[in-house]
Parts: sequence; structure tokens; C-alpha cells
Amino acid sequence: MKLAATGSSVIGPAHLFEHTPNQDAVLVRGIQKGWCISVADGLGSRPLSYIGSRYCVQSVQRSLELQAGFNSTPLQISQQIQQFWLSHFGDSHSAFETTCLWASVTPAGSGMAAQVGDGLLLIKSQGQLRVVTSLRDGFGNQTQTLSKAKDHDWTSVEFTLAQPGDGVLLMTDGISDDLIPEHLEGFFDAIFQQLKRSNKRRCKRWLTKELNEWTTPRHGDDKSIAGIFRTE
Amino acid sequence: MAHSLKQFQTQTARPLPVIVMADTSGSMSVNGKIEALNSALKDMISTFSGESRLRAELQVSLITFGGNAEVHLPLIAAHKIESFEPLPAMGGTPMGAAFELVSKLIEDIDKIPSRAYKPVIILVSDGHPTDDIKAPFEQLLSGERSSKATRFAMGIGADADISLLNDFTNDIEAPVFKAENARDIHRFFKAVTMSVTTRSRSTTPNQVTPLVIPATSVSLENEDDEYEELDF
Repeated sequence: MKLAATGSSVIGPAHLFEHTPNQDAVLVRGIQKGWCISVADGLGSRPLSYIGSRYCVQSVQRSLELQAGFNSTPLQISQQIQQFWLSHFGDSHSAFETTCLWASVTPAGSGMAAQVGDGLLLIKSQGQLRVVTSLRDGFGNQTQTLSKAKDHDWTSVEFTLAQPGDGVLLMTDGISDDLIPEHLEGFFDAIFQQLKRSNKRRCKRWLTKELNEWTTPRHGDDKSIAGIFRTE
Repeated sequence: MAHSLKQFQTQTARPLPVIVMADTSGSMSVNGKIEALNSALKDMISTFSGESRLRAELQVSLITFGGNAEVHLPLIAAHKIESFEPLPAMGGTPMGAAFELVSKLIEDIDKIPSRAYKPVIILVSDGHPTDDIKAPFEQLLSGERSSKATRFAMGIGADADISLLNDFTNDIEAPVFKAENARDIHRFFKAVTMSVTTRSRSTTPNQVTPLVIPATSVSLENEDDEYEELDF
């Protein structure tokens, strides 16, 4: 079995125009010979959310490293991520609000993932694509956040990358809100194919170019994506 | 050859729906009220359609209640409105039926997708409802999606049901605006237009932009001759 991972984050035209930072953050790291990934979307209404999203993905890595080998559930890991994040920002955390999506896959292909807030979590297992994210009941950019999430707000999943082409893909709503729902599998497969034929660095360069050349009219959001795929 | 992700991206901008609930009952036909409302709505649509720096596609729907409640203008991108058909004024004030139409529109995910920014509802009335409003009003205020809309209101003249309009608004910084003449109707719609366009240009189009009513001595100086000084 061979696994590969990739990810990218680009600043949106709206923040570029206003000379404000990219409020998203992305993480792609090797962990215990497997991979962990995360994307986080800092709330646009909070001035320091770009710091909150960065600390979120760092908390994901820290938590997954600490929990490795302990048979923790995705919810237990999510709770620890939240705890790390809250204890870092303390009483001032509301200025740093962010969403959180994370996933990890062991070298044997066992995976887990979780999400709180906007964005999209896709899993392909045994060749079947599954949209893990539940349907949004409101409108764009009205989201649950890492700091406020109760246990029931987390969407969690465990899965197996059983065959080549299987994988897990996370993205912020700057991407997911502009994807044609009927074409999610094509989108997933296109990233897998690109990663399969190149390598992590070249795939990241390709992803970054694609995100910078986004074609949805009047799009403004920052865009972040990360995936782990079984390539052999 | 590298794949492209463009084929998976939607080619429509994220909508920001603006729904105007206009009282077109018989009492609106006196003292130039309906003429002022028609003129103000025409200006608002014209400004919306001329805006090019937006992060959203401004969409407008007009729901009237005079004799019958009906959809005078189905939700459509402002720039696609070719002509504005003036609203006639006649009959009673079936506001409850109009609330039902608005709820139905906002809860319809095919008409207002979840990627849309939260809608704005503007209620304009010069009198008391002549139908039963209790259930449809509560439905609008508590609906899963409709409850999330931003709601502004203007009472025209001394007979407007200010108490009801107060219950309708949900922006504490924008209480019911009381229009005493045609100029006031224009001032209100100028403020709404400014609030919506400012919001849709920003990096956070879901955040409500304060409703700032222009002073009578400014902004309208070139239009002084347009309005008769008839008090309602």
C-alpha cells in the first residue's frame, strides 16, 4: 500500500484587495509513517481569526501525535484539539474563531476524520464516494466554530482506504460552496489523478495554480484544501 | 496532461437576495405614497444593477399585498431586470398572506441555495393588516431559514401599525423608520440600498451593515423638485 498527501491554501480576492491576511490555514504532515491533514477557516468577522486558524491546524497535529497508538475515537481527538485551542487563547478566544476539519490515515490505510463548522469532508472508501458533511440548514458563512462546538456539533467518521483511488479530502467553504454538487466525485478524482502522476510538491504547485485561477464569478473567499489518497 | 478543476466550479455568483414586501392597499394611493414607493424601488433596483464591485449577485423580489398578496417580481438578479412595472394600489392589506409567500420563498432551497448570503427582507406598510397574521408572522420569524434573514421595516404615515413593524425588525440598530412624506420613503430606500451594496462589497457579506438614513438636508439636494411636500 502506498499513501500520498497534498494540500494548498490561497488568499481570496476579497482579502487581497483589502490587504488583509489569508484567514484559512492548511496542514499536511507525515505522522507515524501515515499522514495527517487539516484545514481551518478563520471567521471573516473576527480580526485575529487568521491566527486562530493557524493555531487550529497546529493543535490538530499536536493532538494526533499525542493520541497515536491509543485507539482514540475521532471525537476524543476533536475534544483534545478544542481543549488545546481554548487553553491557548483563553478568555480572548472570540477574536480568533475558526472552523476545523481534520483527518489522519495510518500506514495500513485506517483513517478517521472530523469536522466542525462550514467546509466539506469527502471520503472515498472501496471506490464509493461519501459526502460526510451534513447539509447546511442556513446560508453561506454562518458557521459553527471550534470554540463553541458541543460534542454533537462534530461530524466524525472512521474509514478504510481499501483500494487505489480511495482517499479523504477536506476543503474550506471558499471552495466547497462553489463546487457543482453533481461533480464532487469528478473533483475528488481529478486531484487523486494529479497526485498519482506527480508528487506532493508538484501537486501542491498545481493545486495552488488551480485555486488562484478560480472561475466562479465574484468569488472572494480564501481557499484551502488537503487530501490523503491511496495511490497503490 | 494535467487535469483542470475549472469544470467542477459553478459559474454563478453567490446570491444576496433582497425581498421587498410592499403594502399596495388602497390607502397607499393617496398623498403620493404609491408614486413615491414606485420611484424609490426603481432607484434601488437601478443602483443594484449598476454595481460592479460586488462579492455577490444582488437579487430582488417584490411581494405586494393590496387586495391580494402576490409575487409582483419573482426573485431575479437585479442586473437582469429590464423594466420596473409600477405597483398599483387598491384593496385591503393582506399582510399575513404576504408573510406566507416570503416564508415559502426563503425556505425553498432551489430558489435560494445554501451558498447564498443571508437574505434581507424589507417590509413597507401604511396600515394595519386586514387578514390573520399571527401564524404566518410567527412562521416567518421562527422558520429554519427565514429566521436568519435581516429584517428592516418602514411605517408610512400615522396609521401604520408601528407595533407590528417593531416586532418585525431584528436589527437593534435599525428600528422602524417612520416616513412622513415622499422624501422620507426615498431616504429609507437610499439607506437600504447603501446598506446592501456596502455589505455585498465587503469581505464579510453576511454581516449586517448599519442602516444610515440620509439627513433631509443632504443627499437629495438634486432631487428637491421631485417630491411634493405632502405629509401622509
